[in-house]
Amino acid sequence: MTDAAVPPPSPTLEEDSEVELRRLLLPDPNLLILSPPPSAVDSNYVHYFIADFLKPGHDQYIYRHANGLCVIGLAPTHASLSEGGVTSVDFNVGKSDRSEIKVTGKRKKNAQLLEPNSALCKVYASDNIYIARCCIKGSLLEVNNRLIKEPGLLNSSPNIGISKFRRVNVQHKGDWRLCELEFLISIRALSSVLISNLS
Amino acid sequence: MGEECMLEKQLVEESIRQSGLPCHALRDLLSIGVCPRCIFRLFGVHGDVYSCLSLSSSLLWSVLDLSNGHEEATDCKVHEGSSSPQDLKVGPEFCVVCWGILQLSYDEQAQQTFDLVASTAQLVKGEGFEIDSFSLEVSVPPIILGNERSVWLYMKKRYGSESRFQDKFFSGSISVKDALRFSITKSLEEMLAVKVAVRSFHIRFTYTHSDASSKISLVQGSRTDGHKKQKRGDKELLEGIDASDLEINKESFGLDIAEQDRIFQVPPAKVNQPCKVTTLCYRTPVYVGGRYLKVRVKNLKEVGVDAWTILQQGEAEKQKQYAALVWISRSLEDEDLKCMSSIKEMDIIQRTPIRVLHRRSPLERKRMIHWMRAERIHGSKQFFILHLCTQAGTYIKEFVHGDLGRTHPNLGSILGCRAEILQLDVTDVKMDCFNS
Repeated sequence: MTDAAVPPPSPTLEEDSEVELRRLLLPDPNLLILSPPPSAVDSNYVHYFIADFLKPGHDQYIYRHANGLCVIGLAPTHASLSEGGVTSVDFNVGKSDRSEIKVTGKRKKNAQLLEPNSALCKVYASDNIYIARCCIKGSLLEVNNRLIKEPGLLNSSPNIGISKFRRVNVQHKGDWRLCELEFLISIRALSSVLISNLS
Repeated sequence: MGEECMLEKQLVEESIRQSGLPCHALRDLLSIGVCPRCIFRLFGVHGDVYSCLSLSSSLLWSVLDLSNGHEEATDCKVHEGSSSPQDLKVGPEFCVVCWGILQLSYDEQAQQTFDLVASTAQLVKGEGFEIDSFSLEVSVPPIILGNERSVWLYMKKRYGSESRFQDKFFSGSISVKDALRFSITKSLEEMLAVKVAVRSFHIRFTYTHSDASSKISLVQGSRTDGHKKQKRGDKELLEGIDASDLEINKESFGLDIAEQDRIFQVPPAKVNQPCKVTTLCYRTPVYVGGRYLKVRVKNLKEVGVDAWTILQQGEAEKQKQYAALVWISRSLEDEDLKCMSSIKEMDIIQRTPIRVLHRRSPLERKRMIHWMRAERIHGSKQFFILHLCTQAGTYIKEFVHGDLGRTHPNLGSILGCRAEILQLDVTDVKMDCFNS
C-alpha cells in the first residue's frame, strides 16, 4: 500500500498577501531603462531663464510650478558662480531684510508685493557684489534663509533657489527676456568667444 | 364594516371637538377646499383619526350635517365661488393646502385610488428586502407653508374677533410630514408585519408638484425682509427641495399680506393636479472597519458610527508604512544600505511642500521617520525600493527629493547625492483599534 503523496502545505493567507504585495511594488523593468529619470524639479516646474537682467552677467531663473508658485534663483551661467563662487549672501537690501518676512496662513498674509526690479538679496563673490532681483511681479512668500549660513549651497546645488514667489500676473510668455536654458548657455558661450576674440 | 364605520365616525366627532372650531367654521374650511386631515392638523388635533381609512371631505360633511342637523345651509358662511357639498362629490378635488398629499382615501366618484400603503408594501416586498423594522421619511414642497398661511389669513379675516386668531399663525399645528406619518404608519406596520424603529430600513416619500417651483420663484422675487437671496435659480433643483432646506421664515416666507394674496391668493388657489410621489427604499450605511492593504482588506470588524470619530482622533497617532521606488545619482553601495537601516526614530523638519503651498499654510512641520529599509533591485545599481515607516502626515516625496532643500534632512542629504522618487505606495497603516 503506497502512501498517497502528501501535498505541500498550501501557503497561508498571510504569505499570499506578502507575495502579491511584492509583485505590485516591484517596478516594471522597462521603467528602469529611463536612466536617469527626470528630476522632480524638471517634471513639476516650467523652467524660464533671463539673461543679463538689468546688468550683464546677471542670469537668473524662474521655475514656475503648475499651481502658480515660482522659485527664483541664480542661473548656472550667473557671473557670481564662475569666479570661485559665492562667499556670502545678505538678504538685507536697504529697505528691509527679506529674511525677516513672516507670511502666515492659507491666505498668505503679510506677503510683500514686489516688482520685477525689486532686489531680493545681495550676493558676494570675490570682491564683487551682485544683486539678485525678483524678475517677476509677485508676492514674496519665502526666502531660502539657509543661504545665510551656507552660501556655498548656491555653488553646489544649482536648484537651491533663492526665494519662492506667488505670481500676480501671468504674462510671462510675452516677455522677450525669458528664454530656455540651452539658449542661455549658448549665448553665453557666444559672448565669451566674442570677448576672447576682441582681446 | 359597520362597526368600523361607527368607530371612525366617533373618532371624527371627537376630533371636531378637539379642534375647538364651531361647525360653521369647519364647513367654511371644507368649502374653500381644505381636506379634513389638513383641518385637523392645522388646529393641533392628535389621535388615531388620521389613520381612518374613510376620512374624506364627504365623510366630514356628513358628520357635520348630522351633528348640526337643524342648522340650515344658508346660515353657514360659505365663501363665494367655492364648491358646495354637492360639488365636492363631483370630480377630483385636491386639497388647496397639501395638494393631495394627505388625501389618501378612495374617491368613489373618480374611481381612482392612490393607495400609498399598498404600493409601498408592494415595492418593499418586490425588491426583496428582508427587514425587521422601518422608518419613514417625508419630503414635501415647501410651498405648502404658503398655502397654510393663506388659510390662516382667510380665517383671521372672517373670525378675527376670536382670540385664537389673534396670533400670527396656527399654534400647535402639526406638519404635513407628521400628519402623513400618523396616517399611514399603522397600516404599513400591518402590511409589512414589522414595527417602526429608528436607525434601520428607510422608506422615503418625496412629493413634488409642477407648480411648486414657479411659486417659489415668485416668493423669492418679492421677499423684502433682507434675508440672504437664494442663489438657486434652477427650476429642477427647486422642485426637489424640502422645506427644511430653505432658510426662510417658516410662517410667512417674509411676505406681507398683499404679496401673499398676489402669489397664493387668500384663500389659497385650487390646483388641477395633486402632488406626485416617489418612493425610495434604502438601508442606512453599515460602518465597517478594517486594515486596508492594496491587495485585500484584513481584519474586518463591524464598528458603529463612532468609528469615524475615532479614526479622525487617531490620525495624529498613526504610523504609516510606505514602499517607494527611488533613484539616486550614483551607485547604491552596501554602506548606503547599512546607513539607511540604522536610522531609527529620526526627526525631520519639513516646510510645506511647494506643490501644496498655494493652499496650505506655510509651516515648518516636525515629523518622525521610525525606520527605513532599502532593498536592491536586480539589474540596477541606482534604483532600489525603499521601505519606510513614518509618522502620519509626513510628505514622503519631499523627504526623498528634498523639495529644493526645504525638507531637511532628506534622503539626498543622508546619502550625499541626488535622489528622486518614481513610485510610492502605502503598504500599511498602523492603527491599534483594528489590530485583532
